[in-house]
Amino acid sequence: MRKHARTWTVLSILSRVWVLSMIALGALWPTYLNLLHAYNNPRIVGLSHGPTWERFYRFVQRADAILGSEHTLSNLFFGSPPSMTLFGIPFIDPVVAPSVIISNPGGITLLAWGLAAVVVTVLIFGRGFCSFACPASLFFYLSQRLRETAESYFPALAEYRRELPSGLRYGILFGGTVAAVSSGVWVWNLLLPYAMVSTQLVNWIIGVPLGLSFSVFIFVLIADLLVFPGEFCRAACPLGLLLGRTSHIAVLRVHTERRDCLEDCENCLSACDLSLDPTHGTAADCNLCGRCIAVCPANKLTIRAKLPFSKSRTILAASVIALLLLMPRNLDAHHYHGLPHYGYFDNYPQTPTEEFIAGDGRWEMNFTLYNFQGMQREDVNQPNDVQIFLVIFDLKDKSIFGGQANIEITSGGRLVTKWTQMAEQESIFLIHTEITDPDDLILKVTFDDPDGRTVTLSSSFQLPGEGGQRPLVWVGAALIFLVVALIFAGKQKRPIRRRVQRKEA
Amino acid sequence: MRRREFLVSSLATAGAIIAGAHGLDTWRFGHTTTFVRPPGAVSEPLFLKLCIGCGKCVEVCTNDCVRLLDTEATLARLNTPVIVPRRKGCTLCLACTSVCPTGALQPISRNHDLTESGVRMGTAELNPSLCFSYNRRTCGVCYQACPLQGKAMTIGLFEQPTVHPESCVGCGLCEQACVHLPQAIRVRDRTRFS
Repeated sequence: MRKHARTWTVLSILSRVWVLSMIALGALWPTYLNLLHAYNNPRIVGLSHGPTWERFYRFVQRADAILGSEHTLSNLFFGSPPSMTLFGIPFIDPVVAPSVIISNPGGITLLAWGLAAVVVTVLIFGRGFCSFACPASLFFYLSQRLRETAESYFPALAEYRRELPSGLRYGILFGGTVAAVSSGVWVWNLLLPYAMVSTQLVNWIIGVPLGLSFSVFIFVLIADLLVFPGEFCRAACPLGLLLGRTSHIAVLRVHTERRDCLEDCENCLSACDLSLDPTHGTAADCNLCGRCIAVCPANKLTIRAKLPFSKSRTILAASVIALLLLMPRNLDAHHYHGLPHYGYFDNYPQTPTEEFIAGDGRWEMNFTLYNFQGMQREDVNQPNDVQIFLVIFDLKDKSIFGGQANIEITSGGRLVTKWTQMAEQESIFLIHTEITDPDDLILKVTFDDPDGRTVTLSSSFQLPGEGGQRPLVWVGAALIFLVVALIFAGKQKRPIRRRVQRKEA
Repeated sequence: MRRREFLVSSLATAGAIIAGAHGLDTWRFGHTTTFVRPPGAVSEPLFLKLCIGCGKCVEVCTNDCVRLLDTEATLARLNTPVIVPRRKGCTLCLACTSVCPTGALQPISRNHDLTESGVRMGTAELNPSLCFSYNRRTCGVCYQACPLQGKAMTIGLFEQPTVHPESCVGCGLCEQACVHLPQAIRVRDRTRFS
């Protein structure tokens, strides 16, 4: 192997780790500002919040000092990737752009800058985004290496690979756009892997429970590891489709010297995660990961800058100048106004609660699940005990209902409890009951209002600690069904690549 | 690429999401859910159309009160920003209004008079039957938390608060601060009841 053969691979991994950490830093930025304005001194930060925060504070302070202004650092990666402000340039994902333009035609001027920047990037790097910036592909890359190791121990495992149909990514792109436009749903968090990863990372850091897109990503990752090695990047990612179409005419390409290429070697073929063939120059979809370069025994492969057109140097220069001209002023994002009392409002004795509201126009039902003095449900001695405070509020008279009500709790259609109760002190209906095996819980209240009308209010609710994920089983199942159906739709197998034998030869 | 694969997969993707959104929304939420959007938000239907879920308002919020919805609200609201006053009220630094790329949050410059700046997130509604101060115990915590003391909220004998909806911006600091459970003062989305 040549001396620097692995440079590209190592660079790509480091670059993706850097992207992930920058996204995390973006999420931690408000925390830093709070610490800065409250203490303005790493030592006091350490004394108040512990050594981890002190280290964090020192790190950001140092990074910020290098970059100059107090607030420049946060402009490196600002927002979640599909519409991120990157180094002051507002990027927009080309996959997301059509649906955004259709539903929000006013924003075209903004998107134009981002799209121009994306087009220039694609013309230079092709699909290089996938192996140098995409935070999701890092996980897919690691799962591929894991699988490779497993295959070297159990060669039979190499047989277990299926192929996703090649039309899948076109379908996801088109269907996702249709769904995004027609239903107004921000679907890309469920369809773009890097959006899933980065949003969930930010959510995790700021303390929001992980949600549906996290489960979808984990599912896809496991499917990629077990059944479809490398297939999701190649055949399912709609962004890879848009970026990869022009890889073979991009400036940076894999260069092949075909003279003296060893016969029957095909190491580069088996190394490629996207099942491309680098022996005939760069194919479309090449993401410049550099793995083929590392394995070529004759050192015939390199990544070189090749200009696609005869007058291309001029065009390249023109596009770089255009990009510089289009680069807008940095958003004046962080004119921070300061919090007078850091953590002041946190000091009030609050008990974490979940609140659920239902109403019929005049009457509003509002009930609160009670966790004993802020303890998590998992820590309570009898975990199935649930205490519910229920208040029925009259929106018309601005008063609360104090009479008799029938209350009913069902779980997945099965009746859990049912009773009739007068409102207790302060007109609260206090419910203390045991709910085992919760499944689609619904609380239903029936009462006669002062006008003699019978009012029924019902609302579904969740027990605390279960996050927002439980009722999503159906949506998740639909997506899983989609993937499973497509597994069996694409029946043709890819030719099995026997890595172990080839390495011996 | 085959035509059949393309059709099947696009139909399945769009169908699963649209059916999921429709089913989830009608089955779980009906018409009852209300949200407090960050300051400067346009009306809810327009907001859902304009918001591209970029999360810049979340990252700029030094108070950590703006967060993106996952699917705990309707799927149509996936990845849109909300403020949950119960969790943390808005301190009205208005940083989020200046970073929105699509105009879902209209820029608001911070004047000395906040009510004139046009922040209209919601209205606090007091429930005197629950409030300690109206039940022979003095409290006044919500008044202490209110950034518009004397305008949005005045306080009377025994620290009994009164909300003035025409001046209330709906920041939710009173709801966050309320020591009664369930909260005797709550912020309601303005669009729902006006």
